[in-house]
Amino acid sequence: MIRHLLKLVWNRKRANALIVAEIFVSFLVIFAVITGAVTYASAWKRPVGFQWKQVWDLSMEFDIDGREKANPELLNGVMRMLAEARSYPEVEAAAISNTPPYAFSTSEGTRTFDGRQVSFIFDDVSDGFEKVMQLQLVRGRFFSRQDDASPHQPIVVDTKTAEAVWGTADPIGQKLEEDEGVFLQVVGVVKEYRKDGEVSSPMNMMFRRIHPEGKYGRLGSHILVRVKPGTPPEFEVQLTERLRKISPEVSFQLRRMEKMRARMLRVRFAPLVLGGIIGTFLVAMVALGLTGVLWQNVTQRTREIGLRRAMGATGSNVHRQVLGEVAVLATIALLIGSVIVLQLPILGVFKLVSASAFTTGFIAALATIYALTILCGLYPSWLASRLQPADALRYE
Amino acid sequence: MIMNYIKVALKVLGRRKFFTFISLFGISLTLVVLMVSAAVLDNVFAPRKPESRFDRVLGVYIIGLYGEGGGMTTAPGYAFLDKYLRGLQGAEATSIFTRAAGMTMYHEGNRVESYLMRTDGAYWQILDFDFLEGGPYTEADNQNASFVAVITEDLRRKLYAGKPALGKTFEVDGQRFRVVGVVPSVAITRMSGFSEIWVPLRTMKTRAYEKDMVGSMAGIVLARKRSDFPKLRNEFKDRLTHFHFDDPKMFNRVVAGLDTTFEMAARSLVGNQIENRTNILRGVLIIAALLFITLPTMNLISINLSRIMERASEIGVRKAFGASSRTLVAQFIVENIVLTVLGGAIGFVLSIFVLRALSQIELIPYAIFDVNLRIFGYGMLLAALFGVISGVYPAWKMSRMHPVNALRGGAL
Repeated sequence: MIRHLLKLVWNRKRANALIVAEIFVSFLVIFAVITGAVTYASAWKRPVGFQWKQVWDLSMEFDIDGREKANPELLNGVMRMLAEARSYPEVEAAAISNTPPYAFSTSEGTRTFDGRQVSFIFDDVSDGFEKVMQLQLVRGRFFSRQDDASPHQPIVVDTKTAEAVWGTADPIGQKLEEDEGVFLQVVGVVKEYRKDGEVSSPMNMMFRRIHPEGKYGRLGSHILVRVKPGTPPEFEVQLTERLRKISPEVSFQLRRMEKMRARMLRVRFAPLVLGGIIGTFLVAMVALGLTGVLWQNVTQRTREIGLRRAMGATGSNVHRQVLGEVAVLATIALLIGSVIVLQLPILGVFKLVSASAFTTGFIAALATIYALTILCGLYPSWLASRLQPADALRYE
Repeated sequence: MIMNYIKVALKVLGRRKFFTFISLFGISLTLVVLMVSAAVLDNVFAPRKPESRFDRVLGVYIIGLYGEGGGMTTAPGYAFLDKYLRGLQGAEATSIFTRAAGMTMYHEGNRVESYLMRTDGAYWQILDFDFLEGGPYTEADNQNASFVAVITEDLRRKLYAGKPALGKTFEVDGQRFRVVGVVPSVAITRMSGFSEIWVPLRTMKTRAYEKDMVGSMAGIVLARKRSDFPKLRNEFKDRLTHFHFDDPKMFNRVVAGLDTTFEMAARSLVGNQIENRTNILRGVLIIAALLFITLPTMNLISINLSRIMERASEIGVRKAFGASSRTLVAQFIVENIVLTVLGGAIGFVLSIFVLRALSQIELIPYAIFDVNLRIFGYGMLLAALFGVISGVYPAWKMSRMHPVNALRGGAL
């Protein structure tokens, strides 16, 4: 039976090659869209490692890129603002951060450890950051005044970084070379921290301490403030005006982290939504085209079908034959598609998507294509099965 | 002859409605996607108010400093632009301004989020804003650090409920400004033109910015004519060879250039240090478009192949009466172009609605997407190209049909 179907398909190889190519490309499109959607969905479910509700972000207008140390006046100005913010009863905690969550800014780099290159995402934070973002400590402690005299710059890493760098060994007290002869030393480990929130790609997070007197560490350009629940909106005006008086030379804007989060999500979801819309349109077009081509095919082969009926084939035999041919075409296309898609892991696609998202996308795309092609074949094959042998044989 | 072909084409379209529907559906939606993308790119890159003179403008938006231990790419600072950009020969005007920065204001108890840009006086000579009220501030205002501001129509609505705003004051970033002009809102994609509040550069809180080589500024120059671009670029490049490095151990190479808006996009998307970045960006856009039309083209080809089977006997008759293969190919291609251009026209009408919807949902804040003749032209050109590509193979197959087989309605 299958051999016979293959022969029938081979007899019309030119026209069928086009259909196979179309199904093949549709498969790739569906695979990409589903894998993307699954990646997002699974990322969405994982905890982000911080709490964004009730956090206000004061982003200050100064550029510290490339400057090892902020000038003392600027540092003092920012520290004054921080102290002032902390003094209000409405404020639960406040801290400095350079690249806070959802802020569209990232600081990244690689460091060598034991001859291995490890890439990191950095944030430079002051004491109290863990209280503002409500980080969950796994081992050790967060930064405090006891680090002021430390000869090395203290850092806190998340569990993902700890595993990537030190494996199962205890990271507390371990050192990393930051610069020639300058070391970072781990004082604590927090749960996985996903800086860009729900849609972060996997990263190794490291927090470096900002020394309050500028002995080490870069200055961050954001002050994060956690306010108590039920704080009236007027407090925002009060805080802003007060801070402007304290450090009139610093320009800043106050934003709510929930707004920043909404914006980040919109930007990150836009490509997926766009891809989904375009993918749906492409697949719908292919499905319609396939239906048309199969329909035309059946009409053209009226006499052949009539002959089969006259020789004793039942309507459902014919029905099955037409669907069988479609299934063979889909299978050929999917075989080619699978061979190509299965090369992707070798090219390192697992850095971008998880193995489970890849597998889900692959299987779902296979199922969708089979379902779609069979659906397209249903009407034409039903038409073919209804042909009366006598009419069909006389058909011109 | 062509008229005849077109007549036949329209007849054929009416014959098998389902096929016609599939073809037109595919063609028109494909072109909607292409035309909408073209309209968005046109909106971002083509000169239009308030940047309608930007076919004569070059700017420095990004500079890179590199050394042994790495480098950084960032916006230039005031000192850099003042020293290396100002006073180029062949420049009609030069302007230095900050990037529009987000600002939250509290106006009479309302929280208003907005954008603030600080500019010099020349800014208003290079950009051509239509003033709804008042006018721009001048270079003298800048030198005196007057606290005057130009705001957008949208901000006027938020602050003053749309009532005349001249002479009224508002506070932003701890400073109080008096409104001297109101302009229409600008799309956020406009690199130099976008902001909601414009104030003189010298109102900056400290004068420290005047010493910054890197920072958050941009500088633009207005050339007398477009053909002066190479001269200006060379002069700027020449000046940069004398760049003074504060700390040559850290950075010893500077990369910056006078860019058009598209070149600036290439510089930030492809990379500051990569040669040929504009061609790379252009190539990526073209390849994306080609990849996108692969599937629609294949679909149209297979539908076309099916359709000509149906007309086997007609072709047989024409061949039997001596029509050459070339005539038949030409006929079929013309038919296909008629089909795709028809699809293109439907697509064009649909794009107008899609673009209107995109403007309404504020895909890009304040951007009003519209279709102009240029985009319509692109669309029709694309449609015709699409028609030729998807028509050639089926036409060639058709023309090779043997008259005897064709007359019997046989297979290809």
